[in-house]
Amino acid sequence: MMDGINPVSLAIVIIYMSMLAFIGWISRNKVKSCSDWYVGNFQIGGVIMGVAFFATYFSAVLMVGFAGSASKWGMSATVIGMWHPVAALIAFAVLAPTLAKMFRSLGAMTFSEFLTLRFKSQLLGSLSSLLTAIFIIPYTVSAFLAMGTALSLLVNMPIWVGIVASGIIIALYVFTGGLFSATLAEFLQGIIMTVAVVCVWTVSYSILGGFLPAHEALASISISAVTFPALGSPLWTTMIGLTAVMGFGMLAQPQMVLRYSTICSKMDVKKAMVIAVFGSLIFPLAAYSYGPLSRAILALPEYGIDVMTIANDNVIIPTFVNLALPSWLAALFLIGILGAAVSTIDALVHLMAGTVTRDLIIPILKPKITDKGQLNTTKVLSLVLSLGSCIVAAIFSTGLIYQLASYTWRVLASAFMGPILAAVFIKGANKTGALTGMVVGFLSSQLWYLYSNNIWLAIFNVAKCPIDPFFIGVPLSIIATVIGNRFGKAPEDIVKLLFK
Amino acid sequence: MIGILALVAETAVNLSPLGLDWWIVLGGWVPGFTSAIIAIIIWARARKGGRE
Repeated sequence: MMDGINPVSLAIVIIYMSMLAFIGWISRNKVKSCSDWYVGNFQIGGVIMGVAFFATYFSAVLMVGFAGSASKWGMSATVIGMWHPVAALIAFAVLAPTLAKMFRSLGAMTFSEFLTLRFKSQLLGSLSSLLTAIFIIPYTVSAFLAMGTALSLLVNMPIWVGIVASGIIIALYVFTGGLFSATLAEFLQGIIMTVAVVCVWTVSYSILGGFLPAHEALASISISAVTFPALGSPLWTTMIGLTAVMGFGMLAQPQMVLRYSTICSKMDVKKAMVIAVFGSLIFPLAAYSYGPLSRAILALPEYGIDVMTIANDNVIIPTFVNLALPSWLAALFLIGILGAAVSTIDALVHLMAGTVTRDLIIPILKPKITDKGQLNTTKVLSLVLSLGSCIVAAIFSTGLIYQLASYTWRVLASAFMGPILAAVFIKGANKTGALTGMVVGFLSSQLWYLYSNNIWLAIFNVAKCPIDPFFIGVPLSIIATVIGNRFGKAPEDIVKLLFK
Repeated sequence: MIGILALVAETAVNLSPLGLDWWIVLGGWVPGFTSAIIAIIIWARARKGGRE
């Protein structure tokens, strides 16, 4: 570890952040209306959106947080990652073509506005917006934490300095360019972060002598590092839960829906699908592999570190990169971390600012506001929300990254899976069904999250409940939506418009 | 190398030739790579259809 600030790493950070600020500046002329800021005026092509999709999907949360925890879980963690491309395929092959058409036909600019217009219910839109704005915060905080931890160990600066500096730059460039600058930056960041992760992955295998010797090295430390956990064990519960939440939970995440619903044409959806599926295959496979491999590398005599003794999983990967990788790769990894964190945070800030303005402030307070006024309100909110999230991250800097991130995904997937599937596939879906599905999914997953372990202990005498809240919230959300649909009437004009 | 793998296989009967548990390979790697192949087929068919 270095004693002072590493000047090379610091220079990389400054150049990178300046590049982001430049993207924001060149994008400012592209944004003339709300539609430009919110959905890139539905003009974003397949290649750019495909890369932006997985750049938003995966972030420093995976590169640092999940990979760090995976160093303790072993190679079974790759199972979590390998279901991401399956979910991406479903998103683009099944949902995106219909959703993109519906978004355009309704003129929806946010996820919540889509629900408002599809079901003709402002209550539904405002409620979903409130849920999104509140529960997306832990995820944003986790991304700031991942970036701050990596910066603090690789550049040797206090965590809070890294978090606040990056928060200011992200706020400024989302403020100026909206979805145009966010997507353009995500495209570049997606490429950089993939290169970084793949390089760390291949170098990790080469340090251990290749593919099979690396797995042998892991097996020699502990056979559990190369085997799937025993059925019903706490680790098995974690694996199965995270596989479902981080894979299929993605389908109902508002920030992800907004990515695959704003593509300009049918052919572009197909192009985006191939890129998104491949990115979703390579990136998590690499990250969930170098995590466990770092355990075998750090256990080598020259380092002599047992990762199982490191209390905070968040610091394992930065420590591994700092100690075991060549300096050029550590620098590349640092750039990758910045790209991965920024590309996710900008999407979340964009989502939060957009939905609060369009689905909460305007419909509820009904201010007399012009298109330009609305755009300015959203921009100011993006500034406030990104700075607010980074301050929260700086205060709670010891939280476990993967727990914060998966919590958000669990809540949002449970609340929105029923309504979004009904909106796309059920012609007669109506506001009663969507509202019921959203409320039941949200409440059941939250209650299960809070009380499942106590209930399990009381009835089965087992300390940890093996059923993830996702498996309660999502099915109940879908069932409640279907049942609720029987008690309402679908808006005829909308059905005619969307299902003609 | 094969000797060590055999030793590992003795203690873990589910180990695949990749040095990983069969559950990891069949429950994760196979679905992941299959989805990538399906994505290419869908894209190629759409491209061909677009040309015709």
